[in-house]
Amino acid sequence: MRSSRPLSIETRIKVILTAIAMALTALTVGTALTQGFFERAGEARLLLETARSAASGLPADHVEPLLKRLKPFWKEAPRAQGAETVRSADGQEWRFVLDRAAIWNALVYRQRYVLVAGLIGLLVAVELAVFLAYSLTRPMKILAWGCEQMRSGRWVRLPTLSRTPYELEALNEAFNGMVDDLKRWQEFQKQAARVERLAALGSVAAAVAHEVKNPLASMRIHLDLLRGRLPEKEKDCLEILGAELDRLNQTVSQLLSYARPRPPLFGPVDVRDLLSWTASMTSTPCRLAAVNLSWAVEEGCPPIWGDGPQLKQVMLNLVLNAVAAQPNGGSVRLEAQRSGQNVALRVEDAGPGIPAELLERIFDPFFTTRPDGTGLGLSIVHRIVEGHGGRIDVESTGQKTVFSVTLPTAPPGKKES
Amino acid sequence: MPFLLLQILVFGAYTLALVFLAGEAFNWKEDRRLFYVGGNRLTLVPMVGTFVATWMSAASVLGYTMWLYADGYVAFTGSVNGWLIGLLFMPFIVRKLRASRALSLPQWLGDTFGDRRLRSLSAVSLIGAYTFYMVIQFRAFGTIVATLLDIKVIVASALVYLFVLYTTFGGLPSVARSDTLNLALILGGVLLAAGNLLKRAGSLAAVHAAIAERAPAMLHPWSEGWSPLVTTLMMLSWGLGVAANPQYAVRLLSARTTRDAYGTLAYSSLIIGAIYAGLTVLGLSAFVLFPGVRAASDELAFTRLFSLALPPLPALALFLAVLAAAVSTANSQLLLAACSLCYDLSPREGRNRGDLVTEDRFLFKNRLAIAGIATAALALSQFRLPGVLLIGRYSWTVVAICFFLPLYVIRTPRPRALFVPLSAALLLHLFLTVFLGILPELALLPALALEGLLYFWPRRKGP
Repeated sequence: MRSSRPLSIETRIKVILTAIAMALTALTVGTALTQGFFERAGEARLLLETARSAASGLPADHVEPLLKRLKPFWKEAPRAQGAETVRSADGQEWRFVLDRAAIWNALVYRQRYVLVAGLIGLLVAVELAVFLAYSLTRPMKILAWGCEQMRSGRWVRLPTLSRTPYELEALNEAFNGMVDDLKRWQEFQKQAARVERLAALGSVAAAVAHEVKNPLASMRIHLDLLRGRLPEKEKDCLEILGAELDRLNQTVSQLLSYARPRPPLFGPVDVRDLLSWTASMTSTPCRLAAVNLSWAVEEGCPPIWGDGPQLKQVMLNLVLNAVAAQPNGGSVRLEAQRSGQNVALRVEDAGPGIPAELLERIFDPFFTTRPDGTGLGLSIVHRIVEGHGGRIDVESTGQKTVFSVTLPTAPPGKKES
Repeated sequence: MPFLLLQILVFGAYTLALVFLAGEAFNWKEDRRLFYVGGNRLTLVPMVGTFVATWMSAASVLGYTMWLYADGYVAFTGSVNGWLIGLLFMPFIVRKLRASRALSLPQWLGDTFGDRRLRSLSAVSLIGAYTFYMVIQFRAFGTIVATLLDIKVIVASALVYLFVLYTTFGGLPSVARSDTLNLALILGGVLLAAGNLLKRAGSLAAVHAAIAERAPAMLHPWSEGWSPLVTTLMMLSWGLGVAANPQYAVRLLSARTTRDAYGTLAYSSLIIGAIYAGLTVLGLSAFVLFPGVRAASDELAFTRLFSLALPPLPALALFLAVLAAAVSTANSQLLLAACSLCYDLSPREGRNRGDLVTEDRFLFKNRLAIAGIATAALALSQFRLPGVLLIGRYSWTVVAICFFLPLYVIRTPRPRALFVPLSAALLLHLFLTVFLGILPELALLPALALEGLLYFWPRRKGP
């Protein structure tokens, strides 16, 4: 069974401040009233003594007006026990008792502003308590919200609150630090998992490729030997067989180059030459697919520090991918420009784009959406770019896809002056 | 114990009860829907509590009783009758309002007619009407407490100001909880005082007989000074104002279910009837037992009359009922005025709630607005303004012009077609009351007629 809800901070602070305000008001007003009461009673007794001594020398008819001055704090009490007596010179006696209620009434009336101020003070204290509780609980409320968001898988950073006590600000900063660390850790874990997956895939791929490559070479030789022995009308079949063997061989070579990449041989690579070569090598597939290819290099763009053949493979793969994404024609734009101490290469196509949910997986080996694709082209690109200490990014909308490859212009540790 | 001390202790006890019953001012999981309409989750008991306590303003308790004491049953015909007629209209808008899921009546108006300007115009009107109406509450309570305790009015008004601020800071949930306490005090105070006075006067029949002998005109429902037409118009304007009053509309929106909303109207009408019966007994019996008590203002006359007519404790209960009525109406109006200012007039505040931080900032702004508007009303209450009921008439008529037609008359709203008619109606009302000096309730009908005419005219001419 669920226990009752505990009291909130606001209620606790409210109770404490209200109790303090009430105690202070009671103490102040109580002291003022008690002190006032004793002072008034003392004054009344003094008045009575004065009247008594004056009355003892006066006849009764002269005492009467004198006794009126005793009111309102003394009232006549003819038969009361313990009453004070006043006697005239001619022996007439009057009995009086102190009228405590009258003294209290007068005192309360006199102190009425203090009493009302106490009430106002109580309300002000309560309202201050409310705001004090608010300023304390607000950062905690936001922190609790942040934790709830994290639990439901949404990464949030807490906003910086103005006029927050530094202890609560530290709590806020600690939470944000934790979020940042968790994010980095998650990223690292993703990366590690990817590397592990790729390594495993690479090992399998290398073993398979190695086993397949030798029989393929043998098949190709025997196919060429067969070519001279078959009649002309059967040669078409040999052509098809040959083409398929070549494709198989190419896939196996790609697998091998992916699984056992050759270490890059670094040197300066002219960007203009790279793009010009790419354009000329892809002109035929572009023409066949009715894709308009254009390229541009920023004036004064420095050479890339990299392996020329590998970078050619990167550009070739990206452009062929872009062409394949536009089977009904379109355009491909290649651009190169300086980006700080790097060179940024852009390959932009006007294809239908890559769905957002697939973007994270396009660099995974064997991931492809084309029925005739190997799923290795972009994996190889990714591996080469990483091997060069560069970065590859992709942005895709429904109208276009842009691959941006950023590569260094100088070897690591060597900075441009 | 000195009576003055007892009075202060009773106010102190009320303060403590309010502080601990109103709950938290800053709810842990609050958003604008919770703040303005209680998250649409108010159940029947708090609904009835807040509905009746909001209904019973200082104008009802004090203004009606003193009018009755002075003129007899014409006060009932001219005010209470109209208010009750307004109550009869309300069941017709329950479904319409609840279907919209709006947080305020200006928002409902703007959404219904697809016109942002309409929302702003009605919000501005509400801020003005409610700020002035709150003046009544501060003034009524301030004068009564100042007379009782023989202190300055501003000091006494500061007390009610703080009560109202405190209960409004928590939004509608806090207002509803404190209103349930206020309703108990209003009902208890009025019935105790009425029972006491009736016992001294003999019976209601004896009171009627005495009035028939001394001032038979007081038993007539129509005033001799005003024609039946004027009294009827006055009654009608109060009725239309009440029927279209956003204070009640928002409460109907806040109910957990439509059934609770209807239930609230049914039970509230019984309690409201009982309280008005008590006030009627009070006003008439006081006339019979202590005729001719006059003072510079209704509030002062009320205090003098019932200090004289009632023994100390029933008198204190009655004055506490006025305090509860003032607090319960003022906090409701303050909340609506702040909503109009921060939500309806601010173009950046959309319909949907933002994230926690945005929402927290937004609600903090509301609390600042509450403090600002209450302070303005407190300052205005210290100036010489027209009588309690007259301020009420101005407020209700403006409210009726803004909301009566769209709530009750227009069945198929035409987009952006109401702004011009409503603006013209408000301007006409302003012209008739301020420049020609016509009573607000008399100016209401031509203003409403103009609004209706301008709205429906193009439709008749259409293809």
